[in-house]
Amino acid sequence: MSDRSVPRYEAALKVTGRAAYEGEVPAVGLLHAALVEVPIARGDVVAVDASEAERTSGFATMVSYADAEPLKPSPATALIRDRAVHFAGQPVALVVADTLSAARDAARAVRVTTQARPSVTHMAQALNTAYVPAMVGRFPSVSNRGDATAALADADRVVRHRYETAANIHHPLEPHAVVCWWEGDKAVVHTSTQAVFGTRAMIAHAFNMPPADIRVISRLLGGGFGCKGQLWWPWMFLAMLAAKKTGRPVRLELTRAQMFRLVGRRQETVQDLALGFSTNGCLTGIAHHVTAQSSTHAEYSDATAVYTRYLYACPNVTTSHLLVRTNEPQPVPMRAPGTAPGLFALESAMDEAAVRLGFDPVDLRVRNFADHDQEAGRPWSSNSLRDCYCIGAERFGWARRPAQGTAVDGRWRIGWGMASTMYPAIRQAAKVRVQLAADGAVLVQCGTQDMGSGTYTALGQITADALGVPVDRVTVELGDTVLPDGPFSGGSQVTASIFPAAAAATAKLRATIAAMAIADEASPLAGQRLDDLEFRDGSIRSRSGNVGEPWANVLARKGTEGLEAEGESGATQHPDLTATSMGYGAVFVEIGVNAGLGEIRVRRVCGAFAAGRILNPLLARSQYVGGLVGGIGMALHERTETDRATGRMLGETLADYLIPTHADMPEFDIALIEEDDPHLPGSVKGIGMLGTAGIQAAIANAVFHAVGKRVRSLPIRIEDVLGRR
Amino acid sequence: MAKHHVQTTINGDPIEFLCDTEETLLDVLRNQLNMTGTKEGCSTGDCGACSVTVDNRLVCSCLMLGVEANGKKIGTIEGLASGDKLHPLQQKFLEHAALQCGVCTPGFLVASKALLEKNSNPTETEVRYWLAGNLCRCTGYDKIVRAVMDAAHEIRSA
Amino acid sequence: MRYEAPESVEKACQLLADDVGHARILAGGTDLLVQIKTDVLDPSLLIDIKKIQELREINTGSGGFRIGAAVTGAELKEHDGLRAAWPGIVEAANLIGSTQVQGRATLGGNLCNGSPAADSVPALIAAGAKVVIAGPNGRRELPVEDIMVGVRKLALTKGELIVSFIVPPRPKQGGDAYLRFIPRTEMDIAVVGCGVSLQLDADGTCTFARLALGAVAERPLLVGDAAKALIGSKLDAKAVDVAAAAASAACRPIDDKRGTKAFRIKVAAVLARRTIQIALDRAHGKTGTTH
Repeated sequence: MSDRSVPRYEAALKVTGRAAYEGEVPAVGLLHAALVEVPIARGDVVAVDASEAERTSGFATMVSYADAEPLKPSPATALIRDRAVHFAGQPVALVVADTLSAARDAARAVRVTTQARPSVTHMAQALNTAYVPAMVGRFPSVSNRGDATAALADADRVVRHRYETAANIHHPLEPHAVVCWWEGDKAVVHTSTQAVFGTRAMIAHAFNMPPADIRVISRLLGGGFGCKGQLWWPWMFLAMLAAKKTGRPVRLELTRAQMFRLVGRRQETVQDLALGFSTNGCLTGIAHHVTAQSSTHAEYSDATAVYTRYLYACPNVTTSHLLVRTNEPQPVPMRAPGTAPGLFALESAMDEAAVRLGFDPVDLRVRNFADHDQEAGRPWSSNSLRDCYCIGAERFGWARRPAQGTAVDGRWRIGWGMASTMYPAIRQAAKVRVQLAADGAVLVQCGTQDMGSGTYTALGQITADALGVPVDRVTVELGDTVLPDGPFSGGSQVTASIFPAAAAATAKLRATIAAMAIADEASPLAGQRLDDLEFRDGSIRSRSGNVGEPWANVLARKGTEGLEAEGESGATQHPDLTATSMGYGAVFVEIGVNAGLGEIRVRRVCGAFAAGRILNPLLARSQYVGGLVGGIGMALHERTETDRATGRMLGETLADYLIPTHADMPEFDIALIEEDDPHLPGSVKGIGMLGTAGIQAAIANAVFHAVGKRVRSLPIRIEDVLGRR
Repeated sequence: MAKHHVQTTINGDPIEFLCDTEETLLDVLRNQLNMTGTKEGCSTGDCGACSVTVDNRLVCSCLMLGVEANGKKIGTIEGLASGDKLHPLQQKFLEHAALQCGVCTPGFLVASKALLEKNSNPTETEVRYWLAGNLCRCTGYDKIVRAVMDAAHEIRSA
Repeated sequence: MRYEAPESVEKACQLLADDVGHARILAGGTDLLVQIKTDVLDPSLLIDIKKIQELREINTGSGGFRIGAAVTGAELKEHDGLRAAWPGIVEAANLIGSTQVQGRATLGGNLCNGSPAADSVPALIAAGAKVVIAGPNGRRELPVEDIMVGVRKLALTKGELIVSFIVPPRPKQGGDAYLRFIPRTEMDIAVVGCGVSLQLDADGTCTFARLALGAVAERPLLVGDAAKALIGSKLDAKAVDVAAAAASAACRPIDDKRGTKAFRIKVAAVLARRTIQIALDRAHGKTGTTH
């Protein structure tokens, strides 16, 4: 595996502090921006008065809804061009000044008059307004297979419970930032986004401009996890308006406190789940109904119950999603959207069922393995979930699992738990351009951005492999709308999407060089058969004749300055698929519960994941471990609470919103189970989301195994472990 | 009011700057001196991305005023490598893939260097506790521990 | 915002006394700067006390310690004598925040921030430490437990500043300890904290005990009933039970997102037992840390 485990492409920049993120882009005459927020949770802005702010030192200008009104209405502009206040802490204006502290002083001096109206600050206050959205992502909200109600009524055993998950915040270490300016009618926007093309399209729509007049750049991204998608940061438009108004570049960086409110969250869910079984442990009916929060200005729902349609074999399945609109921030996708909360419910209930039915939790899952996609009625393109169970259990030592409530280590009561995880493998359209210089140097370009997960490295490796050159010969350019169109970074699909495009581009180049060599009397390959030629070690060679030469020589003799080719690939065409593609995993955990205090420590984690072919095991392992730690945070710590009286967040620092630290983390054992998938180009599936789902239930199941307390609400509160339920 | 005139040494170079009382050392490094290797993750001392050393003591530069740097020796990420030669910690972070998005990385490196200068042979637990104030949202930490342990070993054997 | 860095206690007191706005003492700044940035405080003047030598030193004499108010947690940890004599105090101070915070956060700042959850305060109270206060009318001393009178409220008058902590000599056959409960392994604000100091006589009878709790009331509490239960006993299970129950009974906590009332009351007893045990082990000369 070591030759595929090449270090991260841009790592040298990042370890030396030379990596420049978009908010750090220098610009002459830069103005700094600060947002003016209002405290009311719902109401209208009556007036925004900058007269006092204008007298503060360094003040340049203010923009508010009055300046934003010419923008075209859309969900993205709703928050800045209307006078309506949808949640507490919503910005209603942006001030720019010579320095950041001057901008903040000026923002404090802006007087906003508002008219407050009654607000709904929590789902529980408005359950009567719950409604069914048309879609949850790309899936229908409601599904019915067979007759789940009848099946549950007839089932030998039924496990029926309510599960809840809290609102989570993404908190990439880099807060959102934009540095933007105008060059005549053209806009240049450096911003930390997971979607440069989506951001460009959104700007083009809002400002009614041709996309070609907008350049969006996101070369390095300090994490995103879903909150840096194109729709969730309308405050960028205010910065662009201020840049236009002043004729100077403007920089807006959100504060950590603003990251709690202004760029989305994982929605809070309440899930009612019922599993019906026959006495022999076969699922006969499933009902999974989700109620979740959305904002009053935009609709969003995770596909929380959707995975319940797929994971297990069951003839009768009904699922549904309801939304309640509240005066809280907008939910958006976050790390394993849908699967993380949905599988918490499903995989907790499966564990409850295993206890009720007297089955080992792994055995119960294997027994209910779905050998094809029962929802769509078609085969899996590949599905190695049973291997995940088997290999994960073996490496964890699951067979030696102690009886429930019996394992103790000093003051710690020990529990083992496991759960499954899954995520759809999809692709988007992508174009990749590859240029070869006459000296053999390779440049590969795609507009898609690297969220930090390894897109630079993966594209460099794919290209180097295809051209038979070492990776250090390849220069990779990403994250810029002047480059060929590429996908957004999200849904674990960038690598799978760009792989076929890069393969197509490099195939064209190989064919061109091969044709040149065959036709070139001066080449040792003159007159060779095309299909006998291969690219290896920087050369083009004949497989059978053992002759060849560096392919750069072929170009050099022709006197060409180089070659260029573009490859293109299409998005997954869902309705026409002949097979359903998902990645899978099984996660096993050992936890300790402190006997007197109830504190929970994760002691050991083994994750076995099967998601196609792994391009770089080093980076794949890193992504899985990072995902698992995100999942541990969701299971044990991460929660944001709103003061129901005011709609304000209770605490807006990283001392209030706890994410796992170094000292909390165990060792991770990651098994990478590779799959050949004839339906997918290069057998590539996405991997990023798998680690973040499943582990929440595995931990809750382990808590039950340790102390006999079933916790059905995330994050697991210590009171839930110590108290009676 | 008049700005403070501050004389300091950063990575061995004498540096002078002017700052307002409100400006933190982090503000000065990033906005005035263009030393953007030191990152701002939270500005409340909770994430460690802005870690620097002040007279060899590890601190969060977001929780220190620029004016307090007067007469002090500051160490930042930009001072880790010697020219093109990476510090062993940088090399090991690279080899172990102990970074993803990279925003927490300078803080981890500065903090790890401060640890190894104090304790050249730390246990894994000591590494984990020392680095508990450096948050990472991408990697899941375990590669960082390995990289630090490996670098410590290499420095000791050098 | 003005900034002054006086080099004497008298000058610092003068600045405090003369200020007509909101002057704040800047020591480590780890709480103060956060409060300024989050608009909780808007001081007109910051008085940096780190140039005052007396506040930056740990002095030993007659077996006890005089710890300057601006000595950091990291410096306490590096003082071998203090660590050997009062490990509970040193450990408590080094539970405050991260390594980075410990490099700046001071003992005086932890007390003067006025948080009931301050980690070093129960340990100092248990140790019987006193505070030296300087002001326009000279110097005075108060026990640590009398400084904080409520959340962010101190028993200091205008112009007064804390100069140092006087920690007594470690009693023969004495031991101290501090434990706290937090959700994560590191970094968090205490949900409950407990400091204990004990002394035994030759046959193992407890002759002196102090137990203090943090984060269970509007200020850190000295729990006299817990000490009463321990003094005169051989720290047998029954005495410890009574002390632990006294710790729970003394709590008057609030429900907040860090913990419920009921949980805090329960945890206070558990921590009291565990802290007493560590202090006892130390009194018997056994070493070891709380990790």
